[in-house]
Amino acid sequence: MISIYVRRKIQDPGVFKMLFLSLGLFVSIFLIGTMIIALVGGLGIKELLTDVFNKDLLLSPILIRYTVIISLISLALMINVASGFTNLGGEGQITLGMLGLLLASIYLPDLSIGLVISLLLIFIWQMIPYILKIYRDVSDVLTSFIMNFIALFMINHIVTYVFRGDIARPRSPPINEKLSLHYVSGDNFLSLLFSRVSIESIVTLLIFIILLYIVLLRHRIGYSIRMIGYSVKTASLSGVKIPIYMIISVMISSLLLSIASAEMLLGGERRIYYNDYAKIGMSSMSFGLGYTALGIALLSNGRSYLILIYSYLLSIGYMIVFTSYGYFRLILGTAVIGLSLLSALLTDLLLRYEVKISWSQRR
Amino acid sequence: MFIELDKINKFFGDYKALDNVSMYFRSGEIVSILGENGAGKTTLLNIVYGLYRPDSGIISIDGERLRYITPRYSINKGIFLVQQFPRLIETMTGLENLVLLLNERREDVRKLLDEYSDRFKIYVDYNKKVSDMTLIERQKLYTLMSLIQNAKMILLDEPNTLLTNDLEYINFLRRFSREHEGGVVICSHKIKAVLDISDRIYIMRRGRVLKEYRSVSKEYYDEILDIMFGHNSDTSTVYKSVEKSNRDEEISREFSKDLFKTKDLVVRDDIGAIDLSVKRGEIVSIVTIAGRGDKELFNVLAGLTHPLKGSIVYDGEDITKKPTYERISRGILYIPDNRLEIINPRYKIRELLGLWKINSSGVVCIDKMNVVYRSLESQISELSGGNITRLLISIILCTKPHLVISHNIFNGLDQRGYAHALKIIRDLRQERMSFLMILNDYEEALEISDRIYVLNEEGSKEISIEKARLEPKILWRELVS
Amino acid sequence: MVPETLILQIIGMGAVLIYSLLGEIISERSGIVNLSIEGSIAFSAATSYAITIAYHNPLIGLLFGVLSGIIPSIFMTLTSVYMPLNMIVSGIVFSSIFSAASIVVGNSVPRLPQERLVFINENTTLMIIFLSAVSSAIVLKLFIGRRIGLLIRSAGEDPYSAYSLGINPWRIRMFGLIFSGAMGGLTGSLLTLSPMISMIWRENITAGTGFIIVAVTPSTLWDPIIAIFIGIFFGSIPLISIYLQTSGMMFSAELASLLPYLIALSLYIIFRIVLAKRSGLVPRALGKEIVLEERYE
Repeated sequence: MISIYVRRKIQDPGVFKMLFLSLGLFVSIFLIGTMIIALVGGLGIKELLTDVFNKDLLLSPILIRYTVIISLISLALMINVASGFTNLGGEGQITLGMLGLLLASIYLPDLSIGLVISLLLIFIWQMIPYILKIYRDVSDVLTSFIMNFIALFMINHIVTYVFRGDIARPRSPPINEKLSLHYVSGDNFLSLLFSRVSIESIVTLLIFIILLYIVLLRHRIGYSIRMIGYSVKTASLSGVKIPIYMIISVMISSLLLSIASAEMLLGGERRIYYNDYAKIGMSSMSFGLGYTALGIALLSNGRSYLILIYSYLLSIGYMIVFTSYGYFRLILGTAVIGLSLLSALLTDLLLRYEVKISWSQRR
Repeated sequence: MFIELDKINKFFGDYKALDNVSMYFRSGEIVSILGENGAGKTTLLNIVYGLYRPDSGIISIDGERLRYITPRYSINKGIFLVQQFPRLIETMTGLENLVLLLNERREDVRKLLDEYSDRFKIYVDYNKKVSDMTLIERQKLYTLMSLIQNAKMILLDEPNTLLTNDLEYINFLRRFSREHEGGVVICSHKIKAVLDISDRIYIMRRGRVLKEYRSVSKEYYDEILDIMFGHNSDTSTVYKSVEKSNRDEEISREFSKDLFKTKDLVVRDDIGAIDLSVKRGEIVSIVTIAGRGDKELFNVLAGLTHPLKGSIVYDGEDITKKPTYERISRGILYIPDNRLEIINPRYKIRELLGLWKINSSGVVCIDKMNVVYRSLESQISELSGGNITRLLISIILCTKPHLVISHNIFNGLDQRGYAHALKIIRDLRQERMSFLMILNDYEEALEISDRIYVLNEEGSKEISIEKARLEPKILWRELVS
Repeated sequence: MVPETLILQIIGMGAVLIYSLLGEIISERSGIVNLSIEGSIAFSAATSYAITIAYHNPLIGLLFGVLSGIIPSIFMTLTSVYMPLNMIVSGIVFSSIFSAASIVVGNSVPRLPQERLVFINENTTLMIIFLSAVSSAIVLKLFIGRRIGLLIRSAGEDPYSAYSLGINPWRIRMFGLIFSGAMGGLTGSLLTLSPMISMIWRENITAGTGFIIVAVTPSTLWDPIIAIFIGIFFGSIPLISIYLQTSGMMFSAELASLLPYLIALSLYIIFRIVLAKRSGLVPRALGKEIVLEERYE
């Protein structure tokens, strides 16, 4: 009889082993999965390949824009994961961040105030499941996941009844013109690549990749945060002031998410739409990035520099989704979310566990 | 029944737990495996019973050659493992556990239990929930279960208290092997108890079988001690001398006012009030039976859970409601029973030291405690259990707390490490550091403490240390009363 | 609205939910949080619809619906029973993959009103569905008290001890998962086949029912009889919100679809907090994967 036998490895894998294995799995699962669905759905593989993998698209400004956005979100979720909060609520949190920015712009057309308000909304939305997990042992994954739906339906309600926009396609008024981010302009090499993503986002991303690397892996703050992630009991016995480090980690995460949502709102259509299928991903404002980015956060395992590579790959996946159309786009998008999380989980398994498959007990 | 192990190897990561072990067990004899902690005895038994799988080697049972076995297989063959902490489902009663195993109706199982209790003279109250049972009761219940299942071979993992205190059980083991033609395998480090009962002895050290005695006599004691702890090392003599010097050593201390005190502390419904006090420069221990309020007491003292009643005073201040980190910042250090609750095995040694605010000079403490490690960048999970305990003691050395509250602080230490830790703790006491130790092993408690408390259903009770040293049975009687 | 039809509608919708609640109860008693039940429901809704359209026979549709509900469970068995992958995340993975697959399947046939399951007449059919849900709850309750119930509990309470007692906890968990997948399949198929709900399949027909089911399971205290009432309560929420909307209050369709999530979430949180204090009610190994040979544990 076949038996699968799994046991935990004692040592953590090296960075390179981790990188190669995860990249391999990531690319292969991702491509195989989308290909299968593409075949079932009837879209020509040839078109898919020529559309996405032609030379320009691999380094197009749109691709870079999404790489930056996904990296920002993944960084935010990575610090959540490190602090023991498996945050599946990124979707709702990003959309709430956009809402906060939009509402603030109506009354106080100032970017920093808008950012603070969106940060606060995200902070509250993250704190509820996190506190429940730390102090009451309520499943953070489930709570944060269900809070997505609450946020999305709430936004739908606001878009339809408060802003009272178009009935055929409910949407908010555009955000105040005074609010905008800075972009690379001119006719130089940089603008060829970065014309679609704001300087603010790029700078924040770079700063936080370095900062989180130092803080999480080389500093007492990071040791404490990660200790909470390992076990609350261990953290308290080690003298970690749990409430303070909870707030620090959620603060950093909310900041990154609010910058990402500002980028998505201000660099995109500058309005909030009705989320058609507030179910999973694709037709919500944030394209299911809240879920897929969690996969990247899990994969990177606390190493912030790995996030850039994974985000780039995932953005290619999103390009495939964006080049498709109709209900087909919905299928691909939903599957992309599932497959990227799955590859993250499988990599985690192969890195941290020995899997033995034996065919017979007898010798 | 004839079980033969042929060149069994077993790794945990890089650590070789079993190294080419070959043994045989057969019906009608009592075999003992002697070895210190970490010698690989438990791993071996787990492999024979099927809880672990060997990385290489062959197990043959009555001539059938197998790569690994599963518990289901060994139960069908009549092989049973009575573990140190028997694996029973705690939220069910003893009877329900048996119903699970036997696939029969409750009434029939009850009849069977009564019948076998009478036949083998082992009595247990099986209507209790397993979580309410003592370790001994669990071990006895498990033995009964295996007898009902027609056991041919019983493996006993560290049945220390049963061997040293329970004549009934020892007689049962003798009868089982002589009259019922059953096989018994005992793993232990209690040499004397084992010498009384065994027909054959294996001695293991660091995963290897060093010697097999085909006949047993009491004169082997010193020889076995030497083999168990290594021919060339002087550990056994160190151990003996520490044992001696301890009795002679009497340090006069001025006991001023209490540093730490609990008043009418109730930690569990079925355990009475706990009153204890610790003065500066004093080592106080509370002896309990494992699972009888020791964990709860530790959690309350650490502030992880709230007491049902009573208060805790530290340095003249009521800290009953203070969170753990405030207690730690006031100079208390906590070491729980389960090392995983104080150390994250995925941390590097450097990161652990950073968390405890120990700067680079901390390496001195680690070296002083003889922690064996590759570099500061190596992961804690690479260290063995004994090394982790040493690392914890070196954290005490570095952070210099006023009071250390620990639960089974000597877990995982071999005799040499134990002697070393004893010395370090005594030195720290001279620097007026206090220790409050919750211990399950009363011999350790007698050896190290200045004062000793016993915790049983009625609550805590102070026992005169001089009396207890002369006659340790007093302690035991208090514990089980 | 006539009270009689109102009650029938509540009962009909409630019965549909009771099935997957029962499935989730069994899988959680064996220690598995089966979030892929959402995938089961979505996928089986699409397959049963497509098969019914193709063969003009709702019974065959129902059968295939139940069978296709098992497929996500089989994947979950691989990842979360035989391998220690995080149950909740892999549940969401298979929910989303099979939701995508359901869109493919559902669009493979023309969007027509399908034939419904009708025995005698529509109202009797509703009653039959409801009564069979109630009776299966009672049957399960009886089984839980017997040895098989103890077996399932042993995998959910302490799989390691169960293993050392010679029980195969993996197989029990697999059984729990497949059972809950099949029950989810039943729920999914009834979403289009049952007489009182829509006859036409659409992309978002489940509206996250599976997630709500998982969230409300703790409030049933893992007891099939309580599950009947919880099921009926959640079956009535859509009607409550229709009532609220028609009564002229400021209550939009969006808030109405938010309501079950809000109630489910608050029930989940409240019950987790209350139950945490009472040991013995929550399965101890709920949501914990089985890994043997933990060196430090």
